[in-house]
Amino acid sequence: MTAPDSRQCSVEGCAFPSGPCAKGFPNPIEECPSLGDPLAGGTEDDFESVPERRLVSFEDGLRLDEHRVSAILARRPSRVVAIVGSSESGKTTFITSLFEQFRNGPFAGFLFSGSETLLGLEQRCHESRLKSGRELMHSERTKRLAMGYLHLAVRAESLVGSVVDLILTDFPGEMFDAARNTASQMQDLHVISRADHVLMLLDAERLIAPATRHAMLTHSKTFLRRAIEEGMLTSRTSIHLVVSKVDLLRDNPYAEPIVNLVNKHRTEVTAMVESLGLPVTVHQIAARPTTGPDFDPVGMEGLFRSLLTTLRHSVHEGLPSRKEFPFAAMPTVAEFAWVYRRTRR
Amino acid sequence: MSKETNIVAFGLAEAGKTTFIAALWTVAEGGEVAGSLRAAQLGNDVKHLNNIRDTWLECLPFGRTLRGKEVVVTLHLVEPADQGTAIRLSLPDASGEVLHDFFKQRGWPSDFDQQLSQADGLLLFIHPAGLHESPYLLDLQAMVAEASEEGSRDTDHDIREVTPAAETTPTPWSADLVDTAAVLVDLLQQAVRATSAKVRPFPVSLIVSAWDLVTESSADAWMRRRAPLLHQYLTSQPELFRVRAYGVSAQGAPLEKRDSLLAVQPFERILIVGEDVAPHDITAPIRWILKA
Repeated sequence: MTAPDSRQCSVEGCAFPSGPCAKGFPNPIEECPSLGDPLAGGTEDDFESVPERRLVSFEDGLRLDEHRVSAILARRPSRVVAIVGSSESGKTTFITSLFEQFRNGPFAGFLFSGSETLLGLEQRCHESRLKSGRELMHSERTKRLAMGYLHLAVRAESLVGSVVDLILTDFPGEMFDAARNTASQMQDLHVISRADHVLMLLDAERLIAPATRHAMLTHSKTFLRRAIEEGMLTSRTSIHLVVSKVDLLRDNPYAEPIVNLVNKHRTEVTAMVESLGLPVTVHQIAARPTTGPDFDPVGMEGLFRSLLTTLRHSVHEGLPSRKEFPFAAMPTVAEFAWVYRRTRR
Repeated sequence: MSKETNIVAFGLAEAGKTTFIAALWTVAEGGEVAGSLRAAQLGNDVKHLNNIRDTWLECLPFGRTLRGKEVVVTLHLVEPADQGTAIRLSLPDASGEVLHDFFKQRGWPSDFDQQLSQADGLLLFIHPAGLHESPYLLDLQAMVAEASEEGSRDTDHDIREVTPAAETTPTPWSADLVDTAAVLVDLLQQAVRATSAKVRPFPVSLIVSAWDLVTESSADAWMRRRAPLLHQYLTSQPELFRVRAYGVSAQGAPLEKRDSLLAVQPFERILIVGEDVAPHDITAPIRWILKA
């Protein structure tokens, strides 16, 4: 298979980069797939009918890297939604439930307008579908999948306004736990400093259990305090305290005290972020209820709409770079070498 | 005066592309359908077109278009109302399996990309029987619960929680398991990037094949109900796509009814519904792209 030069346009007659793009793209390097690299790893057998043809490759569709996220953010109005919470608090379930809603039709007054991570969304939904061979709902843990960013483009059903890109983080809960403990690992979540919304998931199952409820609420506050100390929360971010799996509180005798506890937590969080002027809201959701009668998701519409109503960042603002913490994190080999040379002088 | 129009036929396996092209060629060459596009000249090589037309005329089944057997069909047509302008229509008749391979392998050959870059429109084929969707387990649980509720009225048992069943070994995810609508959205996203930004909104004639088997009032209503993800994608961006949906049965009926199909004039077998469509005019989706 002949590999094309990645900077060579495959369109006949196109003069780019020395002249204008034949397809009319204003920024061909970012937008024109005809400039893409050849499909990596392909063989002639992949395309029996077309040996020796050059290939134009697609993105893998599983996740976005930060470069691609920044390109999307530069394109049109977007919302960056950082979804944080401990393991199995329902972060991935929230994302897959959202996508499943659109699979059935318009949702919360919005239409599905595409996704650059359709395969990633489909992959995450797999274990909640019949073809998985499972008989009960299940979410693949993000730790086993590659972490990264997922993308969903939506537009108001009225078609008023433009398409809005939602960038959803899908990080494992272990990263949330680690970020509470060390500054450098909080910096691994530097997307938070560009987030329009931080969704802090509070697992109702752990709220119900006396042994875990206080630790979980404390972890939530510690995480936010760490983010503030690292300068990652700015006045442009909205904080959403999202009680997940709220269906478990249905008919639960302790539901009212738990709701009171969450409201107290909200008051404490509001006081923490008061100087930054961040709005703090509480949502109750059951993205994938485990009990009937109708199994309809709870609270998803309201939360989804609230993600789309406010825009505090400038329209084309990309992702920030990771703040440099040269030796707080595990040093790389190069860093070790640099330190070694310095100390030997 | 001649105007070249390039239209790409896009559809997964057995979506009805070849049957459509065969019926189209029959109508264009026969000139019996009022208002339809006509064949202006035969062109240099119409062997493939004549082969598939003969199969269609005899009401015989088409084999799948095989990998490696894709051909670019070129038709020289003319608008009956505008005899002065000849239309050179290029329609790649590619195997649907190959298109699915492109999806899985995340890339397509540069010459296919180039056909798209020169395209003035797209014929997007969907066969009702080819739309695969894996049911959401929550929907199934709701159905089970509903059935249990109905049963409980008689037995006075309150079954609101689905009893956990024994887990079977789960099937690992692969790109083969992706819903058809999601596959088509993904491929359309790649296709629209390949097309010229000068052709906006990009015309898409959406063809729901085997329309004789569908009971919906319109192809748009069928899409909205059966492929909501794809319908939303295409209709939410009028700046990007101009879409018109057609229900088409190029055969007219299942081939099991061959005797009755052969009993009428060939063009009379063609069933097409949609906006501004004359009876049997299978050229309507192309005429709409030409005017879009």
